[in-house]
Amino acid sequence: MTPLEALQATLTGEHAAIYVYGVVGGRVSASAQAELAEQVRAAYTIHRGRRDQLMAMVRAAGADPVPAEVSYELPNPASTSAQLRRVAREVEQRCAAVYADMVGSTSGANRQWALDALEDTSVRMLDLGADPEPFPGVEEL
Amino acid sequence: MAIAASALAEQQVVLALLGATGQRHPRLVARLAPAVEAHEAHVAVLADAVPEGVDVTPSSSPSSSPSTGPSSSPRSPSPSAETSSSGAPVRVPGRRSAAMAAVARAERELGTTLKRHAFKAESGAFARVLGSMAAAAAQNAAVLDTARGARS
Repeated sequence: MTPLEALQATLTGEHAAIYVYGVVGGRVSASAQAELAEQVRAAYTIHRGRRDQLMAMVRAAGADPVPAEVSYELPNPASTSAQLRRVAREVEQRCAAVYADMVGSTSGANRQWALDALEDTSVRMLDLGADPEPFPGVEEL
Repeated sequence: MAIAASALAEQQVVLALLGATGQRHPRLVARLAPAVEAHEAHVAVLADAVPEGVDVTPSSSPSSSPSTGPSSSPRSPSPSAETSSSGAPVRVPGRRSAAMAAVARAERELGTTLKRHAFKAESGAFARVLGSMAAAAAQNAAVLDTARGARS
């Protein structure tokens, strides 16, 4: 993967994450599920910020940022708190894999960005109910 | 590879602290277990990346570490490979909450160091693995942090 391909792949992941968090956010009750609502809101904001940063990084590399798809498939027809939390966890797990790949395919400031994103998303997963794992984002280990 | 050797030594320091902490505070062993498991997996990967003959004070030869963990941990019943890898004495606070905080701090520092190694690594594939190890250390720090532990 070239550095530019890695940026675009990560941007694609952010588009999907933002879509899914948007759907999940619409299904979470701000009053009845206050903690989850706050986690989803915070994650949505973080991923939108990352999307904007990645678009700038792609443009700085001289390319056009990949656009978002019209819609993305949700991992499951989530409605309960546990299901919605699991969807959010899966979003972060997929993002972790994309960030780890970006670490491996970039250098300098872009690699640092990916390292920070991988760390943040790995800790965010825990708040969504994931257990710590030896190699977040690296499936084959 | 200098980065691999350095990361391996740093992982073993944290493993030694985890081992010594579990010996001094047996009731913490279960909570420390996932972190121990993660660092053992990290050590296995890093050991493969270090050329033979490079001195990283391996845990399998306690004689190479003159100052070992158990000596500073009075309740340790027997020598342990986990506590023999560090060149520096392993100090474990007597209060469980302080011991947990010390472990969380060590995990956080290891995460920062591993990220620095990942930033510098010439091999992208190795940088990816180091970055993942850094994220694992950050997870351990978050889980072991007493404030968060109280919530879970």
